[in-house]
Amino acid sequence: MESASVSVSERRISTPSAWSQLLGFNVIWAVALSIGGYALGHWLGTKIGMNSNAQTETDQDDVAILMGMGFAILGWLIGLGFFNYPLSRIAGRPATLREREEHGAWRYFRLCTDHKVVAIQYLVAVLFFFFVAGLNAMFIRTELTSDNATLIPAGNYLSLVGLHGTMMLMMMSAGVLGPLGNYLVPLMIGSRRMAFPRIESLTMWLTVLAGFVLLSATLLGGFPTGWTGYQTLADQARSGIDAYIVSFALIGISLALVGVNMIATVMTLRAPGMRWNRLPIFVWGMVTTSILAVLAAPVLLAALIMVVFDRAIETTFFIPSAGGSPFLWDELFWFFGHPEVYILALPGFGIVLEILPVFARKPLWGYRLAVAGMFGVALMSFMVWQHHLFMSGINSDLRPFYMFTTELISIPTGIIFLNGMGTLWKARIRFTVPMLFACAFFFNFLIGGLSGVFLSDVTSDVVTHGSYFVMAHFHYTIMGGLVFALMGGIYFWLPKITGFNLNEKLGKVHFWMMFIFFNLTFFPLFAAGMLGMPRRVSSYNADLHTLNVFVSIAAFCLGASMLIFLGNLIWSVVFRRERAGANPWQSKSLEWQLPSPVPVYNFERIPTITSHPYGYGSPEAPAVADFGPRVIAGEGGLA
Amino acid sequence: MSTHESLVADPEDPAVLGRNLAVGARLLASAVVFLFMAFVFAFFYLRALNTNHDFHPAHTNPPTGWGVAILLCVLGSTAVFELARRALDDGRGSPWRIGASVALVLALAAVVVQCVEYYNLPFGAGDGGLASVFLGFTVVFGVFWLGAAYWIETLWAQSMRQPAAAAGDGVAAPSAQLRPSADACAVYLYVLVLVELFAFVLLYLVK
Repeated sequence: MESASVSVSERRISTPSAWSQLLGFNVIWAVALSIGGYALGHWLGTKIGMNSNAQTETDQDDVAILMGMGFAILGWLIGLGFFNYPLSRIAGRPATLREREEHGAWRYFRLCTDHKVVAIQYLVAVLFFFFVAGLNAMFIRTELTSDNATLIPAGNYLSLVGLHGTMMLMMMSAGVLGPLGNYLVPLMIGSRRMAFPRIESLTMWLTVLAGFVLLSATLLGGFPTGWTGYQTLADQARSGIDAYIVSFALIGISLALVGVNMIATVMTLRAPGMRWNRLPIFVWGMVTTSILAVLAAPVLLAALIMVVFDRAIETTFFIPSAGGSPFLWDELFWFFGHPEVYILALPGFGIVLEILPVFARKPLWGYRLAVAGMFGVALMSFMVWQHHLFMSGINSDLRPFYMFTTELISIPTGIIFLNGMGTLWKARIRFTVPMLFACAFFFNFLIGGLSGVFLSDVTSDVVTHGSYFVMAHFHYTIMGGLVFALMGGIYFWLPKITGFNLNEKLGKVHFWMMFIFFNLTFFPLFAAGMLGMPRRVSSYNADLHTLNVFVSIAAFCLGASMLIFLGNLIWSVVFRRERAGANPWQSKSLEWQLPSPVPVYNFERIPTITSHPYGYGSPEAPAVADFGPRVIAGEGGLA
Repeated sequence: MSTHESLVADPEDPAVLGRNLAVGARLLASAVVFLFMAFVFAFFYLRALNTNHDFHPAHTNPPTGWGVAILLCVLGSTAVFELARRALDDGRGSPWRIGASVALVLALAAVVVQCVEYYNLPFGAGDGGLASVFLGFTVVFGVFWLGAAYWIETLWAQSMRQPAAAAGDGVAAPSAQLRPSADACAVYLYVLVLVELFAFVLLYLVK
């Protein structure tokens, strides 16, 4: 159990001058080199693609655009300094841990190997793209106040829906793993860092780039496929679909690497005494999510490579007239796509199960069951993807099997619900803002889950498929589940991250507005779906006009609630700056035993973990860790 | 505050590096396997559908001779690297350096032969499902194999830069760093060899 004692270098490092930081590798150079790279790649691609049949038969220049994007990615990474270390390794220099250590604002604009800096970079990026995607949703709802396309032409509307869906899915995939996972996992397991800090930073900057590449689709004619990228539609798309392909590929690479890094960190950098059965449930949520990310994201990446080949070098993976099949995409995409749903859900489970015991002042009920439930969900999520194809391309004899597995997955999910309810049972609950969000998670996810049972059933899926019923269902699971959990997590951990309290009253106003208007927005859409309102189409039956106007007004109020959150965040952190204290929630978890904000090196001495972090309600419960003088373990030891 | 104290070991603690690389390499290998499984799925899916009878038109037979040459390079590179790694474990620096350089040359030879094969293919990219899978599989494998070659090169270069590193004295940090990295690289190579073997059977023999 005892970790090997290793030497620790203690040194003082100066912050470089502003000029040297400006001239060094940073995001300014990354932007400049990526623009230059795009121009160069596009020019080369135009030369290469001149004799291509695909280029001469259509007005599209996919080779040039894809090469432009490829070179832009290279420029982005060169500008940020991601090639320095690999090149130094080619020259035979030994492995080192850090690129550079410093304080100050500049470290947020470059490759930084401090997991806390990367997490904050992630948080800002994810929130930025979340708000952009949310703005798209406002445009969508504005258009739907009329039963005929009035503000936005039908084709553009479809692109707008695609942009909203893809950006939300992409960013929410990284939404918890990136900011909260990277920040909290090392702290929770008693480590000073992630296993692969450069890869950690790489995943963050790839995510940022993916967001901007996706936005560039609007300049390239958009894409008419929604977030699913079905090849029958993509085949007719203009070059905007190239942006979809490249951005999703970047997210796929990022997700897989985040997963590798997260699992390796938990497996190898736990502090002495941090046995598997003492891991915080949030860490288990990250581990199970990471397993899905490592195994599912590469399949998406492979499918996207096939699309690139079809568009650029004229292979025929998805072209039925030449030995391919568009259904191949559906199969591969949903093999990633359904685990992706749980990549979104499992972190939410982790967050709320971490929050509940703190405010219920009771131990987490059924810790082992909760872990088993998470693994059950992760495992089964690979066995259900065909339910997305009940209406297309599936042998009808296979339908009952996938209906059964899909319905079966509600059992491990239900176990996690039971853990939550068992923890709340007979508890003296403190309804703080994080707790309110955690409770709302269960309410919303229950509706999302129950409506999912209808969609897993072949006969009812035939009726509701492609309608707003599906749309309402997945918004209840993803926004009602993950986004509510993420908000709870932000309110819960932001005092630790920033050192400042968020305003409680504004937080409660935000919560109630978000909760009420979320339900008023999406619950009526179940009815709209049952009444036959199709997804992704801006015109609908005039009978549904009043319902849609009501939903749009509720959606605008939901959007306004996000502005309250943003205002609270800026006001509390930038202007009010009320000190949070080390442990404002009286949590027993390891991260709360550290100062707020957490020092650069996290732990002055690696603690010895003595207990699990859920010893609430018992005065005799042991402390979670021994921070006393002991052997200095450089990087944390294997428990 | 313009300065701070660092408590993180740098250069990286070899014990921690070893554990991280061992786990990381296995996870990376899992991701790589799932990526190639998508191409295997595409092969069987398109083969089963055989849309328009265009999965495998008569002229779309990848030349087996080139395929064997690539396979031999990949197998040879991995086998030589494994022998070199064992030499490193035994503290024999010179055989390690020679072995690693031969493994690197063979690894690069595999990529070169693959490129030559592309120039000699009797079919084009759009000549049916098999042609698509063949090109997709081999190009992506080539990229991952180049990654393996890069890894071998960094190990070789590190031992060339600091020969003591390969002498296995067990004291110098680079030596201790080299072994876990070589072990992890071997895991990655084994997985790629399995993928290549499977690809050979699928693309050249089964078709």
